[in-house]
Amino acid sequence: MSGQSDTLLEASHVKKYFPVRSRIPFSSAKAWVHAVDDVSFTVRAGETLSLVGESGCGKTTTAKMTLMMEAPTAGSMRFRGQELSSLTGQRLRDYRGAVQAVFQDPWSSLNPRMRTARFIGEPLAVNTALSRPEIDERVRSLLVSVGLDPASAANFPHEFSGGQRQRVAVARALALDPQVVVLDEPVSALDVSIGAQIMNMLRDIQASRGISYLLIAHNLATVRYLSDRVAVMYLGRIVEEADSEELFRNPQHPYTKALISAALTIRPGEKTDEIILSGELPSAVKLPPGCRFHTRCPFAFKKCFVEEPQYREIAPGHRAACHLH
Amino acid sequence: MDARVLPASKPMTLMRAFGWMKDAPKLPLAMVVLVLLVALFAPVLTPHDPNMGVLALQQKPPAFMEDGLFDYALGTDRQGRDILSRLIMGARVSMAVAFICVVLSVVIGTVMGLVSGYAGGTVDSVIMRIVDGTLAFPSLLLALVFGVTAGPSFWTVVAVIGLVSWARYARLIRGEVLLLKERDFVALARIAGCSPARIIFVHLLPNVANTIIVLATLQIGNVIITESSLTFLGVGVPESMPTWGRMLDDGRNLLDSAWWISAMPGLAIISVVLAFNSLGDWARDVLDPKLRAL
Repeated sequence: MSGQSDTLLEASHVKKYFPVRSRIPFSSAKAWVHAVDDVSFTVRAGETLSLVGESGCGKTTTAKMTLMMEAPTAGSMRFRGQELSSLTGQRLRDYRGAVQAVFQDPWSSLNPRMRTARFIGEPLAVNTALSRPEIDERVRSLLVSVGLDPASAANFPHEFSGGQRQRVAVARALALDPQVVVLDEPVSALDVSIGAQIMNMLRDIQASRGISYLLIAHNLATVRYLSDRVAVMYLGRIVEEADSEELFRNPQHPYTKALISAALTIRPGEKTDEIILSGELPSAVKLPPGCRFHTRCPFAFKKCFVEEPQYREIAPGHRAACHLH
Repeated sequence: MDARVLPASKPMTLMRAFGWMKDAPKLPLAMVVLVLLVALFAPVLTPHDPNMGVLALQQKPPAFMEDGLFDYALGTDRQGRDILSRLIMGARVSMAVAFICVVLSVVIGTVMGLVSGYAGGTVDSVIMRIVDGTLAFPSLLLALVFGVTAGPSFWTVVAVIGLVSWARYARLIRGEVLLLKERDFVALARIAGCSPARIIFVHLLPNVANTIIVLATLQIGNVIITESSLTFLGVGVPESMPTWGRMLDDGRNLLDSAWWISAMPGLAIISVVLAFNSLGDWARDVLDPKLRAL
């Protein structure tokens, strides 16, 4: 583990509960969806942290909290030591410039009525005092850095393909020279070959600009290719976190093992044992007692049904929450 | 290769600045321009006094009919007033009412709809209940109340129509905003630090422009008709101002003997409404970047 000084984004014991409206009017009994339940992680300068997990595990809610689209119910989110919820005025603007995002669906993330130059340049127009020609100049160099023709600045979104649209979205995210870019499923809506090009581009951009990524994904190949560290989420909680290679070579939590064994590997010899999970993801409103994975865990024993496992370090830089360790 | 892009758009030139006009439908465009010019220069163009009848010339048919007079090309009404002159003066009132009402309801309705849809929550509930009330309230009753208290005048008509018709815009635009604001580009705008006002006017407004234009062109016809109903009820514009709606009503009882008294203003209303509708269709296509590129 490196020093604390280069920590950019830090989440500690973050929770997000959504209220469920009761069907009986005026009843006080309120239920909660435990979308994110006690999640801690850090994103360090220049590294990529991935949050992996199946649908409904809370990874997108976590991303939304880092982007201040949702406020945490409990816990703290800090950027360079500053609590996000306390940011106002210039500090908030600085944060907006420092943390940007690329979303999953390139058809939804571009304004269909806005020309590309204006769309990419908008963060500059809103947050800086740059003049129109200066912004246009920046937009041109941004287009080049995402592999698009600068002449396409005058295009409307419908004139681009899906991959090109995602490049435009990346260019906009880079406009303010951010330190962290939240990538929420950046390639899952694209063809595999186009997705691979975008992943290569994201890697190149990270290498040349030294920015950090918080990658939200469910595709393990994407995660493995882009990440330095990986955190596996299950039902609103991180169940295992380790350096990317370590996690894929030596998964410790049964859920991680199941995820990895379910994916097609790029190196066929690697696959040792196959774990096929049965059953559905339990409801996030009524969480199972004890370990929240015990309903589907092939190794569950008595203790798992009653006692919640501690999330602790089981090897240097490798943490997991499982009674087996 | 993914990095290949489509040919760049042509640079901005004078040709391009006006090039978008070239596909405008010729006949409707000419019609609208003609009516606007007529409305503008009405007092100069009328061949006779629109309000002074000649007793000897009551219910004269148009010039192309037997017994018609060339001096009164479109015939005269029951009081011997020249229909052409009244049409020309009427264009002025009808166009003014139509334009002011449409602008008024577009502005109020659009702002209300955008704010309601984007803000949500209590603001949305309050605005939508006002819209419900406005849509449920019988507009002619409102007009009668206004007419009795404020007296029939041009501005009474404008106020009544404007107060009632913004609600349709608000309701429709709110619905579209509810869909639009879930799109990622709105979230990205917030992440980029855009203010709510900027999101509403820069990101949402251009995306609901189609709806506004279609509604507005349809409303122009509606306003002309509503104005004539109000005038018929005696709470519209005063007797001294000829309007197309009043002329339509004037000839109502004489349809079998002197059909032209109603037919001439009727034709005028139909052609203007059709012209505005087809111009609206065209404007909607021009404003849509997807169709513009083709």
